[in-house]
Amino acid sequence: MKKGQLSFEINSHYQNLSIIRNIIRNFLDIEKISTLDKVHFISVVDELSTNAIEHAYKNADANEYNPIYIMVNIDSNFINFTIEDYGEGFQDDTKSKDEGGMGLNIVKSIVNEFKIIKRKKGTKINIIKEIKKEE
Amino acid sequence: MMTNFELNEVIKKDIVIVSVKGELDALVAPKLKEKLIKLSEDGNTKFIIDFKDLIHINSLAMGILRGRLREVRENNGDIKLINLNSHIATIFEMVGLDEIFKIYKSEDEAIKDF
Repeated sequence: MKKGQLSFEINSHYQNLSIIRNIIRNFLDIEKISTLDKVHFISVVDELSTNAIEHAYKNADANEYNPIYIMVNIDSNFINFTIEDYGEGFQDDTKSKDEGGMGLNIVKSIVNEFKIIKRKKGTKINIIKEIKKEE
Repeated sequence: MMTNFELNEVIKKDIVIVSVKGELDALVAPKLKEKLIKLSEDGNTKFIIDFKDLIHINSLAMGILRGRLREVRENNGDIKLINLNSHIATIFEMVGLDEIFKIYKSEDEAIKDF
C-alpha cells in the first residue's frame, strides 16, 4: 500500500467501533495530521461507521460476516474517506434510534464535501476534508 | 470484551457527579443511559456530568444526554456538564447542545449554580 493510503474491511458490529477508531488514529499519527483535524476526522469515521453498522445489515444474520469496507487517502492537504457496505440500501426516511439523528449533522459540519451513492444493494459514502499536518 | 470506557459516581449533598472516562461510542452509550435512569429512579434530580477524562463522544451518547435532560428537567432537576475539552465542546456546538445544556469550567461553579 502506498504512503498516505489505507484500506481495510471489518465485520459490521458495534464492538468493532473502537478497532476502527484505533486503526484510523494510528494511520493519522503516522501521517502527522494535526491534533484538531485528527479528533474531528475520528468523529466523522465513528459516526459513519456507526451509521453503517446500525442500518446496513439490520436484517442480516448477526452470526454471518457482514463486511464494511473503509478506504482513506491523503493527498497533500485533503483527506478522502470512503465507507461502503453491501447491506440494505440507504433510505432517506431511515429512522435512527430515538436518541439518534445527529450523526450526519456532525459529519456535514466537519467535512468539505459529502456524497452518498445509493445502490440497490448497499451504500457508499464519500467525504473529503481539508487537513493540516503538524509543523 | 475490553472497552476504553468507565463511569464513576459520587454524591455530594444532593448532587450526583458522574465522571465519564474514555471513549463514549454507540457500543457503550446505553450504559450511560442505564446509569442515569437508575439514578433518577433512586430519586436523584440534580446531576453533574464530568467530561474531564472523556476523549471521544458519539452522537448517540449526545442524544441520550439530551433525552435524559428533558426528563430530569420535567422533574425540576437539571444535568450540568463540566470540563469539556475543546474537541468535545466543538462537537456539542455543532449539534446545538451547548445551547440546551448549562456548561461550566469546574465542579464548584456547577454546584454553586444549583
